[in-house]
Amino acid sequence: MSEKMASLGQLTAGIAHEIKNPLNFVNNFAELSGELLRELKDEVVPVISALSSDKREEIDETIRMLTGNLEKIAEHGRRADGIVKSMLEHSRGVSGERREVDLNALIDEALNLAYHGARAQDASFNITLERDLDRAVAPIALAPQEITRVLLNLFGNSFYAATKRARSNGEAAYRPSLQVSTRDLGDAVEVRVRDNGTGIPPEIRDQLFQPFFTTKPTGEGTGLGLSISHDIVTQQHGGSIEVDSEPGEFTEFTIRLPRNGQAAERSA
Amino acid sequence: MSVSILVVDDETDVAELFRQQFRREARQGTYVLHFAYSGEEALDKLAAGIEPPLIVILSDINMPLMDGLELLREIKTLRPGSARDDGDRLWRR
Repeated sequence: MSEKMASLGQLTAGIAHEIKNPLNFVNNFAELSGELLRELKDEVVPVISALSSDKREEIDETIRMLTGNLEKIAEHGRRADGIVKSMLEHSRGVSGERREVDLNALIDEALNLAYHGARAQDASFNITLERDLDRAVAPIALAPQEITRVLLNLFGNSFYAATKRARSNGEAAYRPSLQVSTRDLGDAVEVRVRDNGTGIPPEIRDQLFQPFFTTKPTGEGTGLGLSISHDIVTQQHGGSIEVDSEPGEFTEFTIRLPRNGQAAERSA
Repeated sequence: MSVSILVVDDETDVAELFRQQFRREARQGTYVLHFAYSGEEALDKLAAGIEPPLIVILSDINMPLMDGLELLREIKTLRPGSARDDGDRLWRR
């Protein structure tokens, strides 16, 4: 199984890398064409204004459509670019450098980053953050950058689910909240991330960690966040990630990281 | 005053991209763009002489036959002192 996953990873990386170059051309030429069209428009204004109003409208509409098309090409190009980047990150596998870190401090940092990131995107966003961090967990050997990615993914999902619930129905008393706790288990540490968002329906729980599975509208999610997180926790850190949820009530992810942090066997 | 830029890339569409991106500068004659589609062709162009004076070479690294790093080594041998050391370090990372 792990052998198959590894070769799948290589194949994915190969495909993503090959797609990157032509995709860059698409994006760059689209951007340039937009510039050229704007220049052309400015140049021909005097000529167009001399035409009959019917003709003028026709030409204006054509230019508008062309401009719109170029924006669409650029937009979808960026989307594809995001997917390719995630695919490359996904297949990068065991790479992050491991060192002894204060997991609680790492969580705190990620939480601040996620919160301010969400606020920057949407000024009306608000959520109560509760931390219950066990001082006995630190320090632990892990790949800090990769674990931060896992945390940012989970926090981002929680924020999304809580916002969705706040907007979907008229629960006047609803207050979005996110609880993050850590616990020392002796030879392992446990991180729990619990939100009171929309929850996850049982019928899709098996698909959560599958690459490209997403419940977000087209263009908003790549469906790789939890899949990458799963790989980082299980393959890279030899840990486990589990989910518990009650639709309309809560979602809780539990991550366990062994202290002797051996990466899972992975044949090349 | 006009100067030359040499772009080396086996992807031929890169030339069109540069021509369009620097269309104003090219029109005004600030920069003259030269293109080579392989390391070997770049060396030929350098040997034949490039006018107006060349100020920079922008090269792809991944190219068939002679790659960008080999091209850099050749240029350093042909024109000692022309390639800056910090640039060299940057490439090798």
